Amino acid sequence: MCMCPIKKFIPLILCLSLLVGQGTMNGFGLGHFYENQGITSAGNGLNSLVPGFQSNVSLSNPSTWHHLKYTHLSLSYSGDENTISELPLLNRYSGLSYASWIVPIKSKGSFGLALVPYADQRISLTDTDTTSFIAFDDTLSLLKSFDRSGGIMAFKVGTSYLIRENFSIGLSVDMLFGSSRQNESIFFDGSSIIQTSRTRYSGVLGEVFISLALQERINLFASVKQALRDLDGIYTEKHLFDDANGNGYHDYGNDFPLPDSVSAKNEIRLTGIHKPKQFSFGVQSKLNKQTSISFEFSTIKDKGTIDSSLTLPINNSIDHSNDFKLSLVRFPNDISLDLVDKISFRTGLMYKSHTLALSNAIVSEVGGSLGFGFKFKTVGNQVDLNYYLGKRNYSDTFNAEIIQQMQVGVSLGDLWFVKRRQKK
Amino acid sequence: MLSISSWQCEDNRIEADLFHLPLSQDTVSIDLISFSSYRIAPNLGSNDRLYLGTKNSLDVPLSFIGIKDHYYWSNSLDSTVTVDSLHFILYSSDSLLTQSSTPNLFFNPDSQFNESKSTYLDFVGYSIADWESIGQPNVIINTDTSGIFTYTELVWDIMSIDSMLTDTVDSNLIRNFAIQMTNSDTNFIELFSREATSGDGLMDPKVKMYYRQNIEINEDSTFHDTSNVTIYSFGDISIIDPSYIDTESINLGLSNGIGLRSLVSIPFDSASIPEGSLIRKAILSLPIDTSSSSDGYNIIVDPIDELVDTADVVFETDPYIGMGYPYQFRTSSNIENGMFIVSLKNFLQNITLGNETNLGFKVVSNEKNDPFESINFDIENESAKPILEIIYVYVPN
Repeated sequence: MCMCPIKKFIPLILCLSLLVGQGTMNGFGLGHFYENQGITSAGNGLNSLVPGFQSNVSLSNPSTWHHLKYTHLSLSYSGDENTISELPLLNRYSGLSYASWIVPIKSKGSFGLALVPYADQRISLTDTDTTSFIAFDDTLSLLKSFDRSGGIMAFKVGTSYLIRENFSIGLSVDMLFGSSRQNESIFFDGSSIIQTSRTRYSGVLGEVFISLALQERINLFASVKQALRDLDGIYTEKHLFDDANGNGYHDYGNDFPLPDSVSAKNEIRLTGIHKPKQFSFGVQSKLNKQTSISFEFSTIKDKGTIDSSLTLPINNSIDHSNDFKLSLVRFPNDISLDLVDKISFRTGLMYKSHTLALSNAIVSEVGGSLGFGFKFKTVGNQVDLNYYLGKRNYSDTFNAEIIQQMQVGVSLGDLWFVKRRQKK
Repeated sequence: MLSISSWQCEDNRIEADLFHLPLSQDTVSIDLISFSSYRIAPNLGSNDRLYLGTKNSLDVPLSFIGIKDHYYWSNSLDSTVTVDSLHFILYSSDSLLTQSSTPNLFFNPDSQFNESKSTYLDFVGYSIADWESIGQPNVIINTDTSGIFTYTELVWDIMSIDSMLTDTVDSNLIRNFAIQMTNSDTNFIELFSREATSGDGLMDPKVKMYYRQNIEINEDSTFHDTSNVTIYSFGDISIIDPSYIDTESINLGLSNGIGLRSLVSIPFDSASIPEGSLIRKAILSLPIDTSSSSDGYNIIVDPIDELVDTADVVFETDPYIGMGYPYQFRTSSNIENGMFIVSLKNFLQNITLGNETNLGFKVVSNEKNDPFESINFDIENESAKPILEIIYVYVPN
């Protein structure tokens, strides 16, 4: 079989940026963890542990990967929109949300690589009020603002092994990396004074998965995730500058002082800023050969502490989160020639709640998802489309948000590592 | 997928309470500012006027003008060229200038002055008795088409000294002219120097040569061309003598004619504001005595580059070397406020960054100021003392 289609998509993976939409959640702690917004990939739908991609396969659960018949390259592209209610604020971004390459090994094991966004740190905040400052004979109006860009990515290496016919385990090692740039500024008297800082992140997370088929119709799934090496940051603070040309960068021209007249301060190592401990559980009940209903529960607590050197856009972070998912999936019939039987259908409801560390305020989100997929060719190529609509409420001062997400995914199957017959 | 990738992105700012952001602002004022003045021998080489006579107890006995070397000077040696006239011209803005008020012109073929360095100390006991005297000029009052005065020309016919001007034997010929008040009915006149105009050099001191040239086209025909050439000055200077002014009677102030300059010492160092601060404004207010100072007087404030260990207050040349660009600051007096307002932001910021050291500031009068005017600092007035006011932004530790 030809590998050309897969090769054509590799440059596309490299070119596309990884983005989600800005919302208030981006301002908490290290940013908005991607698994807290919408769905992770179009092929999975709302499910994480429970299969949603194919009859027995979840893209985000390595313990199910050996059920794949062919090597799959899966890509998902997401368009996100956050609308803050009562304010005419709309934030809209798009970007690659999931990329994976999974190789099944003789239906007994698997190996896979994935690149996914982990946390989105982009946020642009303006203070709710201007403040007055009396300087000698002048009264100056000051307005603070905060901009943060960048984020954290995860490069996942996963594997699975079928221990018994009804029991398999999976392992995923997530290497976290990324950087962010922060601009804290005070605007007064015609221009902004900006404090720029950069943080580089690195850490390793490990997650163990198990899949157990209790009966013919009931499957159980579970996972435990924790930090193998805590997420650390290297923090570098730059000297304050007067952004006279208003471009947000310390450059030559009118900015003061000149960039070459200041030197960067020493780097500060921020240790243990993110130490997640997560437990997830899922149960799937097959209503018939093609249709299943499932329930998932996940709880995560962050035991990391963020050093005061790192200024947070919003002075709070998520301490722990719980989420519940209920979903219905209809898989395609692989042996049917009927076009309708090649279409998969996914829908579900989700409830998430996050407790903030400093205020104990609750951020709750209720959402629903609806998706379709179309499977074609014998290798199981698949095109998926998924829509997510959610509402996020804050128990404290922040306004509610409406989240919309549209994801398009494509998954290409192929045979890899098979010795081919030489042409004579 | 590609169509979705082109989905238009929007990024609107979200309002949030940013009270927790550490970036803060504050002010500091420094009023323990000390002043002192010193004198140097004045040099008026950069002034845009040439002076002669006495004004405000300052005497200008002599002004020099040097005319450039030019290949047209050899015209008189060329058999095909006939020089018809040779004029030395100076300009004035005085519409009432009469011939009897004008100075005499003298010529000397040797180097006599240095525009940027010469002072009255170089001309003590100096005489131009042995110079070639040319006499007084013709005075031409010019008007525009509406009959409104534009400028006055002082034109000397210097054909009588053309052999000196084109002397080929003198390998070091310097065409030096001097003007001096002799037998004049006025005691002070003011003319334009070469710094007065730029570009077309309309008012610059100059020599204008009118000549005819026979140009042979072929054996049977010759073309007669009539033309002129303007040769400008390479330097000019008025020698001002302030020696009649008593050093003891001088106030804290500035004057180009007296050579009076001031030093300002401000107790500011890197510890004056929190480490890492950014100076948003640093305004030094220098009060002036409005009763004895003129409006629009321009000054230059320059940080001192090297420490000078001396108690002397009178010097031949200025011992205090300024840093110049980019720290040098130029400003004008405002008689209404009675202040010079000086921005020291750039220099003070670089002190906090450890790039510069505060050795004080030199305050000098702009070279274009009228040298017969002076300005006095008023540091005894309790209601308006010299003060440095700084607004800065910092990150608290």
